[in-house]
Amino acid sequence: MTVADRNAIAADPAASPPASPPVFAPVRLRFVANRRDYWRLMIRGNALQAVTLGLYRFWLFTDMRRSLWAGTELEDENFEYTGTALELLAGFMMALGVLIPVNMALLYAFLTSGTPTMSTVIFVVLYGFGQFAAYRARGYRLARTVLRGLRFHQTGSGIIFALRGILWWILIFCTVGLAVPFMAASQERYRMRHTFYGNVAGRFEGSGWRLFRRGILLWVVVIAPLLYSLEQARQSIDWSAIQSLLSSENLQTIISAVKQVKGVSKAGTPATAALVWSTFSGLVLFPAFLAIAMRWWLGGVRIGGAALASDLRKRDIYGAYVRFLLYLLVFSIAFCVIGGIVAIVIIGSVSSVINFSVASTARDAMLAIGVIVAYVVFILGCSTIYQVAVRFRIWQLAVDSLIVSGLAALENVHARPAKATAFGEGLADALGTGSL
Amino acid sequence: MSTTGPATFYDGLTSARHDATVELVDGTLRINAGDGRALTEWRCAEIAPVSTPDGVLRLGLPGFHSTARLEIHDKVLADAVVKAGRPCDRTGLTDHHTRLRVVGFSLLAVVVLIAAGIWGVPAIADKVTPLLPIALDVQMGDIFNAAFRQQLDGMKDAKTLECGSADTAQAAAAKAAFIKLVGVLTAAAGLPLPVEVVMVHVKDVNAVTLPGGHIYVYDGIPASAMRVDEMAGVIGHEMGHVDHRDGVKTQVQSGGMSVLFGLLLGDFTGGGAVVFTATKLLQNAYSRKAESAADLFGATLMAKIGGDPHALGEFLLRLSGSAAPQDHFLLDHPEAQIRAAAIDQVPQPSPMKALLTPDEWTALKGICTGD
Repeated sequence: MTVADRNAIAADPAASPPASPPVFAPVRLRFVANRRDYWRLMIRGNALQAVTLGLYRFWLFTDMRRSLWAGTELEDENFEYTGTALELLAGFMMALGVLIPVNMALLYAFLTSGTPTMSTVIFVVLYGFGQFAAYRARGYRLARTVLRGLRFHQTGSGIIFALRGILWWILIFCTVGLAVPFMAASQERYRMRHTFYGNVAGRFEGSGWRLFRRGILLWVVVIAPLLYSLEQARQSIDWSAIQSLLSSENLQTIISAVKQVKGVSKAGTPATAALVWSTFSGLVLFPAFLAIAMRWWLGGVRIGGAALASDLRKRDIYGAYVRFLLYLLVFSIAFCVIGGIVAIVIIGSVSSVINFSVASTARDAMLAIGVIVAYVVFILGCSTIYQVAVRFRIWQLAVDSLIVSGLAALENVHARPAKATAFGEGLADALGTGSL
Repeated sequence: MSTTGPATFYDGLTSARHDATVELVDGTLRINAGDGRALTEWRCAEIAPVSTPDGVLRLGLPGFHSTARLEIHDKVLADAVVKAGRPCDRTGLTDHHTRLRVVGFSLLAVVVLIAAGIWGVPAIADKVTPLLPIALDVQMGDIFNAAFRQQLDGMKDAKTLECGSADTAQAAAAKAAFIKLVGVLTAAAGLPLPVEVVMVHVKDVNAVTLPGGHIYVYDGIPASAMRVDEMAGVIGHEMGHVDHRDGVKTQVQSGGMSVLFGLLLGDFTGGGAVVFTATKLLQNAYSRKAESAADLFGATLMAKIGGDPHALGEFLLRLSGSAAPQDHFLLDHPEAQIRAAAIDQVPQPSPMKALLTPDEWTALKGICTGD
């Protein structure tokens, strides 16, 4: 039954039954946002970001979320994002109030000790902050997500989530990445256990082992050769010789002498080859990894009796990336042609004032400004293309891949108060760990 | 006049869908259930549209706590409601007016932040640095010094890094002259922490001061100095950096800059380059200020020990190649002339004393040639 049918019934009270018996077959979500509108939004937004040195981002992010949420449709009902840019700005200011003293303390600690241990401590502290921020930011977004007149919300503690993240990363480090699926499952279980739609709690039913089985081939292809070559290097190189070399003061003698140490040249070539292979295969296989991880993640989400399933296909994700590369190529060519013409016109029009064949401060300043402007325009253009061709497209693919069953469970949910400030959003923004 | 039509109503208390009829009468929306029971009434002046895809009008009451929603798919009714309510954009996106205001305020904020970068940060660094313990300079100096020595080791053009370390009478005489000169300067300088001045085998006319009183003089200085006062002026200038604790001050300044420009601004792709350039330009301005202050300190110190305070200015002018101002659109190297003019403001003592004997100066000039 569509909304139009319902409205027809509603318009004629006699035909309306007291409670229409709903049909609860599995329902596919639909993505209905207009890509052309999104292009316009992103191009304008990124241009304004450049003009305002990034301060426009709070408004742009809010508009992006409003478009994406509104474009996500479940049974003729659209999600709604109710957050505002001013909330994000306020959250950012709050985050600065915390981060500035923390950064100053870390800088002081680093300047006065400067040991590798201190660097590790700083890294762990910042990682913990990032995890905390990501969790609290998720809470903010959920509390601003409305469906059928009810909010989502998140309970649980960002500190506990961050501590769990740190412990998991220690385990991942010790298992050279093999623990990643189990971390993903465990952390998602924590997140979803504390996620509510009104008074209905969510949970996560994806298993770490299943992701492990689906992803192990990628790990074998990308990571294993690197580990093998590093292990070979560890065995063949005479480490005591290198140890004694490092006690010397002169860096250049160290570098030239290291090459002479037994085993270095023998192990160096395979290690470099393995590194190149890992980087290359990692890039090529990343979309496959993304598809596997997203499908697994989406398919494990439950809200009360409602269950998600996803039939996201790897080739669609690859399609998004291939299209991105094509757009990038076209944009680069257009940028060079148009940029060249603009440069010639500008140089031609000021050549009566500035002699470009003689070095002068004015010429250098002109060139520097030109390079910076060109760089910013190019990078922002690439970023805009990425936001639409990859991020927007993957959102669309993910939404269109979703099938919800057991929707009956969401028919009579009761409201629960949802409170969350944008502090986490601000923190995530300042730390560069923010996301949509 | 009244317009009536079907709609879907969510009361914000449960997720239940209410098939409703809506009646628009005199600026009020009467929302009734399918069976005619009144659900609620909204005044058009209060309601606001919220973001929806094309073709749907979704209304709510303003304020975070109200999540009741009314959805109208009927175009005639939707248009009538929009007409009766506040003029609005149905997409719920940031409108043109807000956008202009945001851009205006952001530009203002950028101007304020740049002003804070030009005047605020150095002023705060000047105030904060004296409050920090000297122990910080020393600890920082130890770390910087170890790294810098390793770097110099890669650049040296002799077997040893330090000049005058050969086991010859010539080297011993040169070393003694150097120690005498540094001793005279140090005694008069009254620095807040002990200094260590080292001559190094690096082919460059330069001298470097690290935090914690570590001064490195490259072998180009004695080679191109025409008299001892020029070399003493350079060392005096470096002692100025020690006195003003410029190493620590630079760290405080760059910390302040990274807060202003790294955290507040530039958080967009490509923004890093803009921020990097702005920070570099401002830091150049700071360092020019620090250089002038060190020049003044060095010249005053020279006058105090009876040397020629103007020697440093002459040395700078000679190095910059020309004493005549160039007739470019903007001057290429105005620094040396401006710096020399400022240095000349310090009066010469009368009578002036020789800081070293001619023999000692000859030995010192050759300090880096004997190894």
